Formats: sequence, C-alpha cells, structure tokens
Amino acid sequence: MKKAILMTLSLVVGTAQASTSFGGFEFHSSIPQGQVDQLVNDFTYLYKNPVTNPDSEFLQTADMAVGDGPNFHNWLLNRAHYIVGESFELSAANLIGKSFRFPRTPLPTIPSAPSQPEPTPTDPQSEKVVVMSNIGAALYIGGKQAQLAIGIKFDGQKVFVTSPRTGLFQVGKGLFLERFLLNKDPKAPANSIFRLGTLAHESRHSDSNSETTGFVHAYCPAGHPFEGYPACDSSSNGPYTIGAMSERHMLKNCTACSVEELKGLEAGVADSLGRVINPELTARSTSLAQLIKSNQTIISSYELMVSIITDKDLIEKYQGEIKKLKDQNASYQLQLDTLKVEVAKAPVVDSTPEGSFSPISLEDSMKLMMKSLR
Amino acid sequence: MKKKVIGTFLLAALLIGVRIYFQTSHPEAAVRGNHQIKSDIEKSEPTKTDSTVVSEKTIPAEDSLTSELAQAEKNLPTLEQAKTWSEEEIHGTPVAVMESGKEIGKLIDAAEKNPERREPTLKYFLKCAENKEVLPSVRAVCWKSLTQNIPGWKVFVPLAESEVPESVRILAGKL
Repeated sequence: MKKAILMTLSLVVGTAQASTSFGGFEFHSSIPQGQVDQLVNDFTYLYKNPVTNPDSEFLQTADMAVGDGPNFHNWLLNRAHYIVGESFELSAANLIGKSFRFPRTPLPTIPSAPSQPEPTPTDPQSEKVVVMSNIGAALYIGGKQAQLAIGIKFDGQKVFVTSPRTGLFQVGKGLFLERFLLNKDPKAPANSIFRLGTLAHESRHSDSNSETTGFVHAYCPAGHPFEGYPACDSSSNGPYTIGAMSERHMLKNCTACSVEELKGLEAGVADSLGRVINPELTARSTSLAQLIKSNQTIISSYELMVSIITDKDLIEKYQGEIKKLKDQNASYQLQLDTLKVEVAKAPVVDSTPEGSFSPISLEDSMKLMMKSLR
Repeated sequence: MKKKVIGTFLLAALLIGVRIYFQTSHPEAAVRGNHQIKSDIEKSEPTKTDSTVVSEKTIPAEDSLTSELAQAEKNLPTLEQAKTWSEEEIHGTPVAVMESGKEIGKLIDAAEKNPERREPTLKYFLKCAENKEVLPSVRAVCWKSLTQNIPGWKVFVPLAESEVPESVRILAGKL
C-alpha cells in the first residue's frame, strides 16, 4: 500500500516541472539552465563583494540603510521574487484569477503619447527577444482595473499578483546577449553589474502606490534624444535613477573592473540619468556643488603648475584660465545659494508599495542566501 | 472584461518598460567601432616592434593617433542616429552608448601607458563634449574623462571658454 502511494506521489510530482531557487529568488523551469547559472553568479557577486565605498545618494534614494551585499540582496528580493523565462506565455493555460479587495486608490495615470514617433523599420528576419520585464506590476495594474487578482501557474505553485511587490519577473536571452557584454567573460564582475543594474531598474517598478503605482515611465519631451518614446521618468527616484545609481554604487566598489568596463558602464549611467526629465532641485543643488569642487581641483592643479614652470607665456595662459575658472565658480555659488531656498519645494514621489504582500526581513533573506551558498 | 484587462496590461507593460529587444535590428552598431581603434592603438604604442612597423609603412605615430581619434569621433553616437533606433533599443541602454563609453576607456588606458597620447586624447574629449550632434550621455562621459584626467596628466586644456553646456557638465557630475 505504502509503495502504491509513493508511486502515485512520484507520478504527480513527475508531471509538474520543478522550479529552482537561489537566495530566495525562484526560477521557473522555463528559464534555460545557462541563464539560471549566470543569475546565480550575479547574485553571489552582489552578496559577497565587499562594499567599502557606498554611494550615499543611491542608499538614500532606494531607502536602504546599508549598501552591503546582504542589504542590497534583501532590497532586490523584496521586489523581484518569482522569475519566469522568455518562453513562458501569459496565455489562458498559465493564467488564473481570484477575487481580491484592491486598495481604493486611483489607478496610475497612464500618459498618452504626445506624438506618435515614426515606426522604426524592422528587419523582417530580426529576432525579438526579451531582456527583462516586471510583468507583475503590469498584471497588478490590469487586475486592479478589472478588480480581479491575476495569477500564474508557477511550476505547480499558484502565484497571485496582489501587489506589484509580489515580484513577478520575466527574463530572456536579451539580458545575456554578447553585444551587451563589457568583458568577454559573461561572468566577469562588469557584466554582473550591468545585469544587476537592469534588475534594480525593473525592481523599482514594484514600488509606489495610487497614481504612481509601478513608477510608470513618462514620454520623453520634445528636445530629448528619445522624444516621443515612453523611455523617461518624471520622478527623481524612479527606475532609471535607481538602475543608474545602483550601477554607480556597484562600480565604486568594483576592484576588478577595467577602465574600459568602467567607462562603458558609466555611459549607461549617464544615459539613464539623462532620462529624468523633472529632476529635483536637490539634485541640481548637489550637481552645482560638484561642479564647484571639480573646478577647484583643476584650479589647484593649474596653480601648482604655475609654481613649477618657467615659460612666461604658459604661466600667463594658466593664470588667465585660473581667473576664468574662479569667476565660473563664483557664478555657480550664486546659483547654489539661490537654489537652496527652493530645494524644500522639490517634488518627491512616495515609493511605499500598495497591495497585499509579505515583506522579507533581512535576517530571513540572509538565511536563504547562506543556505544557497552552502 | 477580459479584453479590458488584457488592454490595460499591455498598456501598463509598455509604460512599465517591458524590455524587449530586436536582436538583429541594428547589427551595424554591434560590429562598429572597436576593432579598428584597437588595431590603431596597438600600432601607435611606442614599442620597438611598433617603430619597425611604423617605419616600414612610413606612417608617423602622430598621424596614426590623429586618424585614430578621427575614427573615434566618427563612431560617436549622434542625435540623428538615435532617431532610427527601435523603441526596444531605446528602453534600455543603447548598445552604441555603451560601446562609446568603452572606446573612451580604451583611449584613457592607452594614454595612461603613453604620455605622448595624453594631450591629443584630452583635446579629443573636449571636442566630443562640445559636439552638439552627439548624444548628451556620451558628451557627459567625455567631459568627465577630460576633467578627471587633467590633474593627473598635467596637461593644459582651455576649459573656461569651452562650449560645453551646463546640462552636460551637470550630468557628468553625477557619474
């Protein structure tokens, strides 16, 4: 009898494909093993790499007290939890629904396109691939509108999206494309930083509430390089900022990154930060202070040169430049002083998540990671 | 009802940023750029072997560097080019932007090793930062690379009257 029960059980178990997990992240069986291996490598790097120079602005923007691996891992795990592969289809066969009482808050404002950009001609032979997507946030918004909690069948589990914080993600081969590699070795730290930055960006879509649920992207305004596309953020603590700052944070602590890798990633950081179309005055104030500091470094360097060179013409050139840079700093300082008055009025988007979800404590996420690393 | 849910999902997915990518939509961006630069850098390194190669080809190292920097300038992604990129390419960091950053890194690396390259490299960074046709993100990386290396390389570059807008300088300050 016992044998018969065991056989029946093994048959039942055998029919459902098994998901795998690492550090609390659950990988659906639709993710190819090679991609799981790379993600495991990335999470291990994030968790173990020592953080000696944290990016305070990132920590403040992400509401993170400490920027070390365990805390960053916990931050991600609370926003990205269930991960499906590119082949996973959001079809009737995989979708489920149940009644759920959604918060009585307004739905996010979905901005309309200011003007339809010219469709880009696409090579008919091109292959469309997924990089990464926070499908949970989109399912939550769709479900909230229909007042129905949408869920998916996750290798035998039923995962209902009762909050964007359910953390339902999709990854595809786009994340691992050779053309995105900063180093030929896919497992090199620079490549991990790029992928983790993408994950941090998408994870931010699990945050906020009411009209700003999911930190929905804004259309880039006229004059922006990506004008007319929903590829900008109207808040200074949205996905593009978080993605960029998280990369900057990791770069500051990457001892194995080459100058080439650093500059490649830095260009990505600049690209993302350039998409914040309504930056807070605080950020501008910080930037002005940085400009003054940067000019001051040059001034000191030129003053040192003046003290050691003998060529009169060159000395004159240096002195002229020093004067101009000092004048520039005086102008920046004036702007900074003016801005300080306005900073308090800077808009801040509340990142508190909405819906029903179970937060994972730092202690629990550390236990999960330690178990996986054993 | 079902259609409404699907419609909202699709709209939300678009605006939340479903990162989908056309793998082969811009193959030229992927293959562009680095190989020629790398071979030129190798040629211009002042090693014994290289000087033999240069003399055989009768190309002075200075000319080689000039043409290398001219090539690097041609590779900088422009605002016009960005208009031809697909929405999927635009949602994430465009490959051409990352490639430009990597090229800048290679130039810094080469100038660190060979002091003769420092002044032309910094002047190239200034030119890149001033170039109104280039994407602001790349201009910002050029400006940062310029101001970051002036003190260490001890090279005079006239910055005060440069035509680099404040927005680019501010973006560079955030990197």
